[in-house]
Amino acid sequence: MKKQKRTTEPPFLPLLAWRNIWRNKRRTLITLLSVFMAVLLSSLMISIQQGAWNAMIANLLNTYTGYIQIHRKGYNDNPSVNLSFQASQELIRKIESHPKVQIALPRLESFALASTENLSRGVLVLGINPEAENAITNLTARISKGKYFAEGEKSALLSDSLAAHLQLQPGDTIVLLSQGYHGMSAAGKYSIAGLVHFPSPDINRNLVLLPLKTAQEFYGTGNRITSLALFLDSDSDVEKTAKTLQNQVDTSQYEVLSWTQTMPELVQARDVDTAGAILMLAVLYVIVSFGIFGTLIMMVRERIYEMGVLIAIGMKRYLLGIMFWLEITFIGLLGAILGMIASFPVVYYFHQHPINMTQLSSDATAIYERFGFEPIFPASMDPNIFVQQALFIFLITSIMALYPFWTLKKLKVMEAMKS
Amino acid sequence: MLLKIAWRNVWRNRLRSLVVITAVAIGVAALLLIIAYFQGFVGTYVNSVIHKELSHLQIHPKAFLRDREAQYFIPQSDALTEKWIATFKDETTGEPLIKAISARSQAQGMIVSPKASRAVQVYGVKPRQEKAVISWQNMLKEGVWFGESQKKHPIIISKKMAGRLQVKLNKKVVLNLVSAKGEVVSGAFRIIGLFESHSSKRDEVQVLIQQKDLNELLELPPKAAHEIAILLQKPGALEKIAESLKKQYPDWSIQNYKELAPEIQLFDSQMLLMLGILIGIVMLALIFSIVNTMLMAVLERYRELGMLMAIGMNRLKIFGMIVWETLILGTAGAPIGMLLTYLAMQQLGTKGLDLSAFSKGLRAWGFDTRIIFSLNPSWYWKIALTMMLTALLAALYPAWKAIRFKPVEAINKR
Amino acid sequence: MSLIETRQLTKTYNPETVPVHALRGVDLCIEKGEFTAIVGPSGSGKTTLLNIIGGLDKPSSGQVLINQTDIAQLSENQLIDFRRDHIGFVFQAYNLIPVLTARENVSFIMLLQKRPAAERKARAMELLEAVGIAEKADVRPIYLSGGQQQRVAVARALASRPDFVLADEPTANLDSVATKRLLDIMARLNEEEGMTFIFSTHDQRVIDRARRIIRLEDGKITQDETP
Repeated sequence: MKKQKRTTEPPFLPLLAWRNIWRNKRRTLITLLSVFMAVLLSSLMISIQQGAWNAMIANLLNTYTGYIQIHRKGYNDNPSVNLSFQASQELIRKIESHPKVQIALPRLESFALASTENLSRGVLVLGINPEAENAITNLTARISKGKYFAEGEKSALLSDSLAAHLQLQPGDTIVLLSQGYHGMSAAGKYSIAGLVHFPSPDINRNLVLLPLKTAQEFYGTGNRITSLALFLDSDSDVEKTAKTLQNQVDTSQYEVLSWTQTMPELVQARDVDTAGAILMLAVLYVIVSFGIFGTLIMMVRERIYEMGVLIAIGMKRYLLGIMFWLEITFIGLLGAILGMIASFPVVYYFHQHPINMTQLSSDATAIYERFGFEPIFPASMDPNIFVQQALFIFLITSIMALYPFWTLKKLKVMEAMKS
Repeated sequence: MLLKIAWRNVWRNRLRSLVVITAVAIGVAALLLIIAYFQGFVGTYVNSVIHKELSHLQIHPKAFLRDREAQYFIPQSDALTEKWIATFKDETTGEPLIKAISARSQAQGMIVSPKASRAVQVYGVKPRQEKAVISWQNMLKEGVWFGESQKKHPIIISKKMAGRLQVKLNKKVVLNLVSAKGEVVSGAFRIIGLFESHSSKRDEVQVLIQQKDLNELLELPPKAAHEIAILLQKPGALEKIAESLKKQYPDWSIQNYKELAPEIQLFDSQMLLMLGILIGIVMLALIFSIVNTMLMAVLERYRELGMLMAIGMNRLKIFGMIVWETLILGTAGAPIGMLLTYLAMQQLGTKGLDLSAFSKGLRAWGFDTRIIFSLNPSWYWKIALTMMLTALLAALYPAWKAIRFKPVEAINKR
Repeated sequence: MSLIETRQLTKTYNPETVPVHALRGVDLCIEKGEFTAIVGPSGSGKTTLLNIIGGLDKPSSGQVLINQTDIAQLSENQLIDFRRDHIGFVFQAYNLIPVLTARENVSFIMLLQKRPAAERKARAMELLEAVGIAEKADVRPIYLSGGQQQRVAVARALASRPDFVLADEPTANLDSVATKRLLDIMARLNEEEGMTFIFSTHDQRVIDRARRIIRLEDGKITQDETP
């Protein structure tokens, strides 16, 4: 028998499946609506959650730590000015020649005791190259009082919470005490050029900025630094870049660490928060899945007679199974797509106008600040979020499709036609 | 009888009903367990804060809080301690309300080791009292507590700090401080113990030495204290004792742990808000399932419903029948969910959930890595009630549809 | 005074679009104790007439008096209550509540009438015995044959002590044996209890046993005989 020639007619099964869905409009719509709602809510929640973390981390990386840091080997485990190094021109050139690296900023970082007449506080001292830093992190834009400093000056910039605690204003003097290179005593008096505001409340509490040469003088390190902070052109491929650079430097002398390695607690905190959010959404999806399954059961049961007829006249059972799979998948995907579409404008809105908790609730602001979060939440526009939802729905409906296949397998034509 | 009919109707299509009932069971169990998680989280946090950090009440001279200078101290802290323990007693039983008190002196300074230095907050403590108020025995990971070592001028620091300073047990470190007279003083100490608390931030700055050593360095009387921490037997007495102390000592600041860690209050309210939203979402998801199923159940029975109206069952009764049916369908799963929760709580409520995989992240924020779930029994009823309301809401549309049939059409369709 | 009286009963469906004149002025009187069949071809209006007499439909014009009450004037809700108390129904199919046993089905209507439990229990049993199905009292309809189901339906119809019983094609799905049995019971109830039965039927077997035959054609009564 000759095989039927393929005609140019539209695909038979999908069309049939699509039309079948609309035989019971109300039920299909209700099922659609439930998927729609789940996808909409999930997209929103994840977008905001991811967005908030991304913003917080990006802030930190862009205004302060950089994406990758290069230290003397062993520094990350035991930070100390004794593990400072001289950054040769060659090293810097090699690093900056990597296409993703915008610039490598030299820094000298350590602890000190900061005192005024009455008060003292443990602080983090960061020696920076004033011009180069400002070019990248735009430090001058965050000066809340006073002015910026220049290289070599005996002046300091204080983070504004620190200044408030120590009751200091620009023009006042601050005394720094510490232990310098190879145990030398480090002591110095500096005038406060200005106050800086950092978005991270944690950093804002304890930071003193000095011009690099001034810091090097204070700690007695000469022209050595404790780290090179690398700023990349974007936040993608950070790990890859770090690995590449690792291969290019002398690993017996230096360590090249991405921010995930220098701040693993940040990564974990984000993971824990994300895990919690996903768990809650999983519950939502499980419930919605039951709803979809219920609909599938009803769809199959009420068409037993019809299926009996179709099988009797010669339609293969597995084709009917595929048709049901198509039907339920159409409903699921349609709901998911509509949910995604509906979430775009909302996510976009919150992307452009981040939720500002300080306006909504001063209570919440206090909590967030205690945990180092600026209470401003932009939403993330990552397309992955949307795609993952659709894939998940697809997976669910495909697993459910086993039920009609099983029913069809058991179906006895004569019984079916007596329904 | 209506109830009987409704109940039997639910089981006409067993599989379909079971799907809804299972969904409800899962929804209820999930909600209750999430609530238990958060209550446990907050409870564990509060517990840690009280027993490992702040105690129930802290007292400081107001001037000290303002200026942090050694000269603003509380004299004769010993005598005060004894007096308060004796004074505050339960009215009925006569038992002391205060479990323990620790008076400490405090100073900011630098700790210096051969390889590194750090800014620190130094606490001068009385070994026995301090241990009674703060659970140092749990936090001391290596070495011994004060009093168990023969070394002169002992110091206990955190493991993290030891790492930063690159020192080990029995090594010497130097403390640089500013005395009551405003001069820089220093003293050498030997490390006898290493601790690790639930908060890595706090570990980074806190060091302990004996009160007599610190007071000597600061040139203060030996019993002077800058901070008094009170641990109560039962938290209920908090308000009363605080009020009484405030009256007696107007120059001192008396704060309870909620004031010292304001995030605790806020946890509760924020959590309630979030849980409310979560419950709303889960209920909404369940409504879809229930409505869909009941709608189907009503529509496929149009002949039967028409017949009922024909023989004389009035609309109100039919509406009621459908509502009952929906209620049964919607709430049958709730007891099952509650049972599942109860069973899960046997494990989670005692041994808790181990989150040590996230330990770095959690400790950076001061959270324990083991969360013991805790569920206030009233939640069982609250969720059950919410489920009933949800089912009632879901009943409206199908029930309305049921009474809209005209008996004529229903019967005469052959 | 007739039990049922219709005066100038008309019913027009779709009066605004394509009018269908189902009944064109029907005057009818039915007395207590009758065993009457209403017959006629499809489209004759017999179903419509029965629906209106049964209070399931309203006439376009005219009166329908049952025990002097014009039920055409009653509201939907009032009609439901009226049917409950005054009319018994036996349909061609779907008479019974599937999830209730035979006994419970019969009790159900009395429950709607708020009769006390003792009465419900006694009368249900009594009626089930009268229709000869007492041994299946606690069985659900799906386990009963067509004829058995119809007999339960009769018991149920009588349970509420109605003024009359309307039976719409009650034998259409039954074989001769079941039909005879059903008709025997209904005839006996008619003779012994004096219950009025009005049938709408095609079934010759029913027509043969009716004491009065009303023929409808094109919405009008063309014959009204007492053979």
